[in-house]
Amino acid sequence: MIALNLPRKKIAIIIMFILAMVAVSMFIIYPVIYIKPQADLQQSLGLYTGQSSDTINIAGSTTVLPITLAEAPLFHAATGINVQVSAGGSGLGYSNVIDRISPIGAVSRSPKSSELIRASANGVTLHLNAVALDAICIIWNIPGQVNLKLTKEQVVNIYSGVYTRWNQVNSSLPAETIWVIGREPNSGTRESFEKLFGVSATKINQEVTNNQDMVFSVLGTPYSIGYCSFAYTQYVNTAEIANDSGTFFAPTRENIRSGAYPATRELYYVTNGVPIPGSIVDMYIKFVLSPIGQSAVEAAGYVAIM
Amino acid sequence: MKAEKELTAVTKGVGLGEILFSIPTLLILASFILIMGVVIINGAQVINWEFITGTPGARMLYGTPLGLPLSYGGILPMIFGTLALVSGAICIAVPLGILSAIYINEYLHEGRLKSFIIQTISNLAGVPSIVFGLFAFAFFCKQLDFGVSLLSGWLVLGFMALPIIVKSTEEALKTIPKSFREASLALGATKWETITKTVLPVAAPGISTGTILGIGRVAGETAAILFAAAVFYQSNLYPTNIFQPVMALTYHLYYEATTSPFAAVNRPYEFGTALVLVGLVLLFVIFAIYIRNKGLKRRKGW
Amino acid sequence: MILGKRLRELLKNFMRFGAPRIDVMRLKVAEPLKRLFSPEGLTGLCALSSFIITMLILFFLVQQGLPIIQEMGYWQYGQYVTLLLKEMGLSDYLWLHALIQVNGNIIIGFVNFVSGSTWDPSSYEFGILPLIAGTITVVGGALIIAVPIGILSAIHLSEYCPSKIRNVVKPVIELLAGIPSVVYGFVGLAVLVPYIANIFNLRSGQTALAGAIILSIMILPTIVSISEDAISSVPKSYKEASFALGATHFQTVRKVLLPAAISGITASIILAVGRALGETMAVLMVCGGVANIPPLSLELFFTSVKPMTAAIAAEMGETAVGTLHYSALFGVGLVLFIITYIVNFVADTINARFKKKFGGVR
Repeated sequence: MIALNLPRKKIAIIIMFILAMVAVSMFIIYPVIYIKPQADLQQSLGLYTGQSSDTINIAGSTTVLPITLAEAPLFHAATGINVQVSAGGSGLGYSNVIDRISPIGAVSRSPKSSELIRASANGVTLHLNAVALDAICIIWNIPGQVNLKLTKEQVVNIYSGVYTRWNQVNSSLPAETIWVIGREPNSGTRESFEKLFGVSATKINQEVTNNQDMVFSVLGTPYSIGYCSFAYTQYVNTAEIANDSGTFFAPTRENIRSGAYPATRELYYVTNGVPIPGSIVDMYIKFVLSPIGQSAVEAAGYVAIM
Repeated sequence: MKAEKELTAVTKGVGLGEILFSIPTLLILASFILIMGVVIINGAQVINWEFITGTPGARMLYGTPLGLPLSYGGILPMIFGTLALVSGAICIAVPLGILSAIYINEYLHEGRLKSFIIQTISNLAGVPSIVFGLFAFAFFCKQLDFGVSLLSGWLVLGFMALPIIVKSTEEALKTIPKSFREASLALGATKWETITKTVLPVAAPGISTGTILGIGRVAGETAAILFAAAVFYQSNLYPTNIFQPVMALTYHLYYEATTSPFAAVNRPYEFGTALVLVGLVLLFVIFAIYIRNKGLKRRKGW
Repeated sequence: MILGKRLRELLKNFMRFGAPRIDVMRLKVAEPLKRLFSPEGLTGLCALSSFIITMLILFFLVQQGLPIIQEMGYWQYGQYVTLLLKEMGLSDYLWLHALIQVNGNIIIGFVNFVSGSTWDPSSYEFGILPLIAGTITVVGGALIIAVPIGILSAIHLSEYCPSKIRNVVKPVIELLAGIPSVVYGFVGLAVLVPYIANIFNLRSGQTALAGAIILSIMILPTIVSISEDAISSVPKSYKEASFALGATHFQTVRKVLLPAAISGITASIILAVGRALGETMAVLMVCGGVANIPPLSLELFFTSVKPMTAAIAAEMGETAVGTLHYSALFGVGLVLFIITYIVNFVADTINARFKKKFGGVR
């Protein structure tokens, strides 16, 4: 036998140390070897890997973020489910669903072709649930001007660099250089803007990363122009945009709700396929589309879709 | 030391050198007063009982898009989150750190191994916090599959606080004269008994200083928990188990000031958050400096 | 016999009862085991932990950052395909060629990664030269501001300042070191950035200048406290000798104390550089985040830059795990780790030489 000849105290220390090592390794190994529930069972509950049965993680577009944050406390009060909210852009919202990190993501644009291909390669069907109406508003800052009417073509020309001075847009405007502000490449708002107005190439002077920064920059820079989501337009001037028949419409709630304003878009929660009835995701979407949820959408500054 | 008079130049009085040289110091003091002043003046306007003990309200979550006066609520969950992260991190860092410092100082002989370990520790102290954040994400969140969680935050913040605690414990142990250890060994104590019963109690002020400085650093840490532990909002405000994320003061300030769509609307409340954060951290730092000065005064008697 | 002689002896020893035995196990296994489980061994394991942590960090940085380095090692191929796809208007499909696992040369890949001059993740351009230029600009500016102020302030505190005032000022400077970096960034964003925009008539005050100013305030406590320690620990005999020879205080400081303390002062500067290189939140909030190499003209500090740390912090939140962008961010982290390791190593060497010369602080 191994005659260690150790006093009792040292044996006690050794035993405690071994126990501590075992405890630590159980602590670390347990989450790794934890046998996760079957994939279909999880999917039927609307769960994904890394989520317990009472959490849901909604990440994605910063445009949809206020809506999610307005809904989360109400949803929690109604169902007791923990809603974790973070930002990251529409790209991240799609990635989370495609890579099966989360069953739901917040997006403000329809998927790109690359995202569709990645989704089908992963066996994921991207299903868009529209929950709110939003509009891309052209915001501007021209000292001394009260209102501004623009056609979509004029916006395209400003953003592609054809018009460099305000008097090229409209001869009644001063001959100042236009300071063009745009959004970062990952932005869903930018995608929507480019799609709704038909902008292909952009030549911008400044890039900002969210709607509030855009409003700030426009407010702080004379003779600047930018675009943002409807919810941020309370303190800044918006331009009236002409629709295809030439009538100018201002971005107001009525015009957006009726569809008269020509640059409206829907805000979505993207899910993997149609939400399974009874799953958490389904509960959440139904909650957002209910009267309580839609009033929260309005409170967040957007326009209810129902 | 007190008996020795301060050695100054022969010419007395305030000369040109004194005035010229005091300008940079005054600049530093001025910048400190400016920063603290801005935070205190702007933050004090929103600090009230509801701010510190309330929960997130409508204005924090979705601003005031309709121009209605909504209530901001409070930041209690964030304070709790920061304290939770800090306490777990300290529980990891303090035992590990003190034992490491004991080994380095008491058991290792001068040589290549000792200088290598000391260099490793100071290198760990110098690793940028964002690199720690990347490591935490790749290792704790993805590899060990803890996800964005309190546990990941504990581990990464513990590793960040470790070098501070090791360094200050080492310094504290070094300043104890050899005679203490020799006397204890001469009376028949084993080496370990010497360390635990004679040296450590005397070094306690220095170790406490290091711990509290470590707490201060960890409480103010953002980049490490940016994608490993923190979330801006979760609807059950306090994590129910350690695998859930937390809401932290630093992340809240960062988020509100930059990523949040309502940074401008909520600016006074951001100052309030900054004030609470600075108050919390400086409380720790001041306490640490106080303990260290008390320890220094005691040591002068040796 | 089949068994060897020693083995037979071992068995014989095991079989004996009651008799005192020479226990081979005790000599070969129990002794090191005893040493391991002694206080020395256990605390030694703890000390090993910091080494293990450093190795783990390095391992994961390399593991996650390898794809981008391998991809860029095949630079010509990747560049050609990217150009081709862009020409054909298929930029949407750029991500496809990222799927193709190209095992390029790691060294070439690393060189291409570090020297590539465009950082545009959405077009799959991952050259980090703009990020490095941003870091160098901001850190360089911070050093230009902080080093003179810091050293002069250290001289003042150790030589000219009355001790009562020093006992107040030193803790205040240490308080400055304790303020979290988000608060610095936030105050910079809320106060300094509009101020700079106002004074210099810029569109946006988020420039390298703002970053340099904020960063300089953050590294000042490091420079001041370590330099002050260095200057104070120059032996009094130097000063006495200099005064005895009739030098004025200023001449003593300039010609005797400073040269003697130069190692400590240099170490403090290098440590400050290390801290400035690793600073994330403050530069993230005030530097603007445009990944272009700033022009080497008078406008150098008035352009918006994106330091490496800010790039990682800003873009990590919107990157999916496993993409090339994700791997590129880990590559940037790896470069940061290497740079700060070198800086720390140099600082430690200088510090060691200084301690050997003067034997520690007062």
